[in-house]
Amino acid sequence: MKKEKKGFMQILKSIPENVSLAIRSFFSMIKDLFYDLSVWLHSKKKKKARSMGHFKKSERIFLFTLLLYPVIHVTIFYVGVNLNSIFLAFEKYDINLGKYYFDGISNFVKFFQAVKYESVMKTAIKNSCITYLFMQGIFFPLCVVFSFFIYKRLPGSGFFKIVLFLPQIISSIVVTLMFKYFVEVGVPYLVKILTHSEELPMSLLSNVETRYWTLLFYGMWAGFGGSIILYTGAMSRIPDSIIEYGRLDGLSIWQEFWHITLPLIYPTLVTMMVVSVSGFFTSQVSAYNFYGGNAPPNINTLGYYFFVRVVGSASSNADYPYASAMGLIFTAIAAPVTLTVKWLLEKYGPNTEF
Amino acid sequence: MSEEEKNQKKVYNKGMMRQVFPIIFFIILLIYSLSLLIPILWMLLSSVKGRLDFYNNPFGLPKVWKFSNYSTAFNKLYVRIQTPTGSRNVYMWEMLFNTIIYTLGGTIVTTMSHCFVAYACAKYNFKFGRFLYGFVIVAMIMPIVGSLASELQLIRAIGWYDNMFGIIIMKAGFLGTNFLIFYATFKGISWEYAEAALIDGASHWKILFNIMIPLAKTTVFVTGLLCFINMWNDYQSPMIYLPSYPTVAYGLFQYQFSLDPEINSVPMQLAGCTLAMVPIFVLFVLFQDKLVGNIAIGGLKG
Repeated sequence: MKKEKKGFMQILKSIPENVSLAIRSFFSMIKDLFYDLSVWLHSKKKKKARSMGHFKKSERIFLFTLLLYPVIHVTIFYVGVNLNSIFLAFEKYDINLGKYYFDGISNFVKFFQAVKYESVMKTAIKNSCITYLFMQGIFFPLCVVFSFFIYKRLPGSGFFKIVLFLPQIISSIVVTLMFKYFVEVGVPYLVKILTHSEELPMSLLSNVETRYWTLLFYGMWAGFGGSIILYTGAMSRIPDSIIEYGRLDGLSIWQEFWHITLPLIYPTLVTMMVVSVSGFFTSQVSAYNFYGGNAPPNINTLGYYFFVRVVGSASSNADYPYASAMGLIFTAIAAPVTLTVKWLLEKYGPNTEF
Repeated sequence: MSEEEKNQKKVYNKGMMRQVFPIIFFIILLIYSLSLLIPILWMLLSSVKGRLDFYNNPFGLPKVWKFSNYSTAFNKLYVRIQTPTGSRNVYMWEMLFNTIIYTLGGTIVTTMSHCFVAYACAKYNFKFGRFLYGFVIVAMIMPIVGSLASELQLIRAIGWYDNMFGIIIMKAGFLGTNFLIFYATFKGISWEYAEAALIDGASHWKILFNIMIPLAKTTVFVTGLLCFINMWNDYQSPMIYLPSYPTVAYGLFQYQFSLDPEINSVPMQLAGCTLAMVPIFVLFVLFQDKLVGNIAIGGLKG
């Protein structure tokens, strides 16, 4: 018997209906998988940056002209200055010859000896620690909470925004002098009136015990504005739909702050916290504004100590190498701490994008 | 208590919290705002008092309104500078002139520097642009503390110490938060406008100045204005780098240590403060709606 050859269509027809459906579903699934894969690959593919040679001549000239000054500037005043700082830290100034010469690590040794033996340096380190903790532990959270309530447009928020911004736009010297005289003359007078005493009490800035804390308070009192502007700016970018969703879910205002606002402005908070690490070494608690180069020893901070070393009336070229060595030590501590803070905040903080 | 009653109480508590917290913070903010406003009013009032009048009653109204304090402060607010031939006094008019040159020059060059680099990095996809963006982020994250001595040595070496033009250039770098603000602004502007202009034959400069900067004018204006205010109020930079060109802020810093008996009193000191505050205060009143609420920075994703 001659075997009859079956055509492809006949084979297909001979397959039962349910098996055919399964095969079609399988192929459809494969097709969908490939489609998803292509979408994923497309989303992953980043636009590759081009080298300057791939641009048109007109584009190259444009970019070259646009970037020429900034690049020269950063090369001289950032890279050059910091490289010079490293060299300077290992040098000493010969007053007779008027020249710098290599002196090994003597400036670093001098610094560590100062840390060990100089009471001014010990006070400066202690005050810097207190200032940093005070600013991060009290000032920073208060700024965020104040910003939230201004952002929520509570009655008078427009007025508060303007008033809080005032110390930022008025010269720090004006604000300092105004505060200084108010505390030195106005406050003792008020206390005398309120307590019905015969004599004027000593002002908070004259009292050795309260002087540093008054400056710390001043820093907080005068500093809210700038931070509040930044935080309210970040908060105002939160989409209204998210807030509305939270409200429909019945969140209280405190829950809204904790569960919506804080996570969504977290990148801004991280930025501020990361940038503020170096403040430990640079903060002067406005001591130079109040006292110039002659601040009482008990209000010294590292920032003030360093600043006066470089620009004080008694400073000279001979102080630069020691100041550079100090700067190098500060950087060697601040850089890894900053990076660690950033890493920790990003690793353990909320990961939010909107 | 039934489940329904519990839910009702919960809703009631949340409603209360919505009302109680704003009231508490309203009171705190009100007290804080008053603590800022009262010393300013006190300063204005004290600046027109006589010496004795002030010490006898620091909070009362002046017995005699001495507006002449302002003219005395204006004439006595000076800085003594060293010249090759000896020394001379720089008075308020000259300090105002120095301040305007320093502030305007610095603001224009700094804002342009930030704006141009951010524009190139945000709108042109090239390797060096990405490097520059990364450089700004690294410079922000990696704090380099204490390069002041080296900076002073360097500008002395290149002859820019005590040179107005040199210091304006030195201050005008592109590193810092303003770069990020401009970068975010330009990233948010569609490139389609530029493509249309390119098809019409516009040059890249024309696109930058006629399309992109006008679209980013709020950011340019606000960052420029903030830079202007900062430079006007900055007394330390002129003190360190420009000893022969004192500005008003530096003059005021020196003024507080003056031993001149005519101005060595609190009312005269506060009159000087009021004078120095006026120009920036006027600027703030004129542009406060633009200044407040137009600045936002994001994260530091490198």
